[in-house]
Amino acid sequence: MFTSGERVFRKMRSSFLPSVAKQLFKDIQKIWKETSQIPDDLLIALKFVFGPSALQALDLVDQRSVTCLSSPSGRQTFQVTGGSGRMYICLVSCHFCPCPAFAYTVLRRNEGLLCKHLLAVYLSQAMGVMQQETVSDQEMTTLLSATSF
Amino acid sequence: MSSRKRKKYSTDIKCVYFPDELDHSLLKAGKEKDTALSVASSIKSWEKCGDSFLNTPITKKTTSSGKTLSAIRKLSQALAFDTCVTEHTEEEPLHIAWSDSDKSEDETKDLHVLQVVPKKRFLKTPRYVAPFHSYTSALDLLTDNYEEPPVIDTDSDIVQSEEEVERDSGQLISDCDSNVSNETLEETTSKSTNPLELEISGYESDDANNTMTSSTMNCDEGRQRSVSHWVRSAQALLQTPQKVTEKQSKTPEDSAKKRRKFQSGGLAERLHRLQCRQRSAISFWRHKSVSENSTAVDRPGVLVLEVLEVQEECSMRLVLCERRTPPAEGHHDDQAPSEKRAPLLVLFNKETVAQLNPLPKDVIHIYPPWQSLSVEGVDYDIILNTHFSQKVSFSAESAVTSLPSLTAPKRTPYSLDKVFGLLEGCMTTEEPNKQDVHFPIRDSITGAGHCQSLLDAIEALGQAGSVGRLLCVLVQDSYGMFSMVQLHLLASTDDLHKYSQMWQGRTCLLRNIKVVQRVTRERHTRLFGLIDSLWPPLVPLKYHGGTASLQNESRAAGPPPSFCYLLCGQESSVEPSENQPVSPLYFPPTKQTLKELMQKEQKFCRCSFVATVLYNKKQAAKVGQGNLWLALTDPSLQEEQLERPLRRTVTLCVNTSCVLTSSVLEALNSSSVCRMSFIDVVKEHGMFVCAEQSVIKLCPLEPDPTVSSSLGSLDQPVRLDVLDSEVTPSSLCVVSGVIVGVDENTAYSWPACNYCGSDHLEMLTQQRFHCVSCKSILDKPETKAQLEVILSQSSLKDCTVKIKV
Repeated sequence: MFTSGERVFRKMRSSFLPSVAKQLFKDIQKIWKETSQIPDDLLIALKFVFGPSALQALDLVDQRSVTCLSSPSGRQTFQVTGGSGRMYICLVSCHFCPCPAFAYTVLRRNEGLLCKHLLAVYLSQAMGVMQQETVSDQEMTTLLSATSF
Repeated sequence: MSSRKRKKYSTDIKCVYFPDELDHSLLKAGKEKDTALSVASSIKSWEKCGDSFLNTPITKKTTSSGKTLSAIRKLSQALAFDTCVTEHTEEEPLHIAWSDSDKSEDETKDLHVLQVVPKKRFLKTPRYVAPFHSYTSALDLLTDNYEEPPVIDTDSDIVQSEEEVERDSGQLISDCDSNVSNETLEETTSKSTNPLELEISGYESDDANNTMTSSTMNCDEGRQRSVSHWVRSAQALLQTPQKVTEKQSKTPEDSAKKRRKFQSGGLAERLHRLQCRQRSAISFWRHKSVSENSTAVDRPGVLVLEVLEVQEECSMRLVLCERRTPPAEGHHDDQAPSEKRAPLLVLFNKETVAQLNPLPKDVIHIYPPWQSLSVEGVDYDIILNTHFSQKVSFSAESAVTSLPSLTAPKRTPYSLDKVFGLLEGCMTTEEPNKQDVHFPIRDSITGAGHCQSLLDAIEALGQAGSVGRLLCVLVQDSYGMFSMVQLHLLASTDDLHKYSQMWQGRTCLLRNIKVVQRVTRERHTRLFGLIDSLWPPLVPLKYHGGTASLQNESRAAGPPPSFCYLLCGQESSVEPSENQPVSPLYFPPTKQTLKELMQKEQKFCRCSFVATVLYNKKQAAKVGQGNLWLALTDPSLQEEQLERPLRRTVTLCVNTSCVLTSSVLEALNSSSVCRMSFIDVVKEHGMFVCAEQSVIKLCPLEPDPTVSSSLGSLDQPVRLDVLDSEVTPSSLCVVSGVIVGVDENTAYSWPACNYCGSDHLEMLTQQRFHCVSCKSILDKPETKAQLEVILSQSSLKDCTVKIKV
């Protein structure tokens, strides 16, 4: 695997794509803060890294479909209104979305980092365009238990 | 005005030229002059075009995909619009083959084959060599010779043309323009000033490349000219591509989705445009690289890389490569030893991988434009958008291996606990962890426990007794919630001031706190009276669910809380923070004059004031045991004229639950007049009560020069009310009259100790007594007497005044 000669290169680390994703979100956040815009290059980079989810996720962001729900007990989750009108509850501390695309593309086939809902959550977070809503603890419990995980 | 020409190039395809609006509207010089007129005329031409097709002989293709629109659209975008047809060139059919990369929600993954027929050569229009600042503008240059390629307005046009094309879907149309544009490209590449000679303007994450936005945005306006009509016309010309491969099975997320318009001006619309442009650029490039063998590697911006390692992650290939200097001309295989350079991590997407199949020891050329990203924590530079890649030399392995997927080690799936940084950051800033809440503290002391039995115990034993006092602090968080935190037993009551100084008004961190009880307003009137006196807060409060930006808005505080938590902890549970000396939330007690307080209508409240103690009445022998009644006055009540019904003195009852420090006790015990400050005293039923959470402190006699005169010391003899019919019990008053009689029935006398004043004497001998309290022998004890005298008073004619002396 290495070239001949005295040049020695480090073996590749276990995974890079999450770091790339993280960096892109960070950059989006920074640029958005400064200019309230995402430059074309960054959009194209998103597309490259995240694939078809990128366009759909951006559409969700345009529609301001992501809401951060918080309850007095301190719990927070993200609610995303999908394209068909369905609401998906995405968890904050865990990389998960109950949508079928996530189950198929990410979990089953390991072909993507995230689904469009999760990507929309990250993008909305980076851009600070998340809606905020407070729900009661009761409602939060219902939401979390009703979601088919 | 449109003149249409038809030329037949082959038996089964038709070619339609687009009219001369192309001439004047699409020339770059004339770009800006495009008017609605040309659009209108082009629409007309489109209609005509559509009409004319109805009458022409059509050869239907047997396999025509229903979803050809995407292919058509792509190709149309790929074609330079700014083509002006004038002359013929050579006639060789060209095949453009490309695969859809990254299909969007309702585009199919088809391999489209288009037959294109060359027709005419473009006018040689002078090229723009503009400085470009970004990947995306670099992309544009690949697709046309203009600086500003057209932008397809995806919204209305596509939808409309969709319908129209579907109407004509069975018809054969050929694309006449494509070759022309290809030729343009070819022609331009041969020139010395190469349009593809791009600066490496990859997207660098380190510096916010804001200029790119402006440059591409400026282009946008110029491009949105006769896009719609051109698209329609181009679509009319294109041959229906054949569907070579079956549609890939739809993932659940694609199913049941109609094409919807993206929000105009939104990010999705912009990305869609960029994506389409990129796709067309890719297809062009691939075609070009297929047709011409020479690869101009010496152009700047071309990455010549040797593959070291390949890894697959989420259907992308991550290829660790080493840079190589471009080989000498003509010798592609020659790999001259290059100097040491940091390796690059190159990402290839699925489609590129399918074409390229990078394997170790391969040499790959990556042509611009590409993007470079620096990721924190990763040593290599990451190369993105590597669509324009070509394998130049093959390693020995590739001959053997068949499918790319077998060679690349597939990564194990990512664990689901990974979050991409941002959300974690969001959590800690948005929602304060229950453990790390910062409270400003307002000190207060309460007696040990609230239950009856403990109070009794305290009363019985007094302050010096073994039952200690619990230190309690009232805290408030930045959301406005109050809590009473019971801490530890006070070693001595004097420690109260020590803690007060340490903590009062400071922002503190509370740790290791347990919740004891949640109390409501109805049951704990005095506590909530205290809370009410601290409401509304001095600074705007945070509220749950507000975003950072909203916190800055002022918001009405609303009613004071109706519940409060009782917490318990230890002395170490409270940690004052070093930052601020005084928290902005600290609501210091507002001292008022007694006059104001007595005039207040409020039946029940908490107040603070400074007053002079004129007299204290002890219920028990010693101050500190049992309740204490004080008669107070202050300068506001000592004014010359005091309007009724105000009295000159007020009564204050000090409960046993109120902690009195030794200095206060001492002052009270002495018979001299003393001035004290009373904080958070309960005022109920016209009387003051010092209960839990009240603090009594000695006040220096010399008034603070900053303090207003109303709180100054009393410099004249104290004025008191004269006894009248409205006197209240336990108040001080002046009585003057003439003694008219003595009630002898109730009069008596007794001996008392000379030293301690105790009444408890034991008789030793006839004249000698032993005082039990101070253990002294008294030879001649003093005599105390009690009798009631009757006074006659001029003001109270119809009452009998009896004074017990």
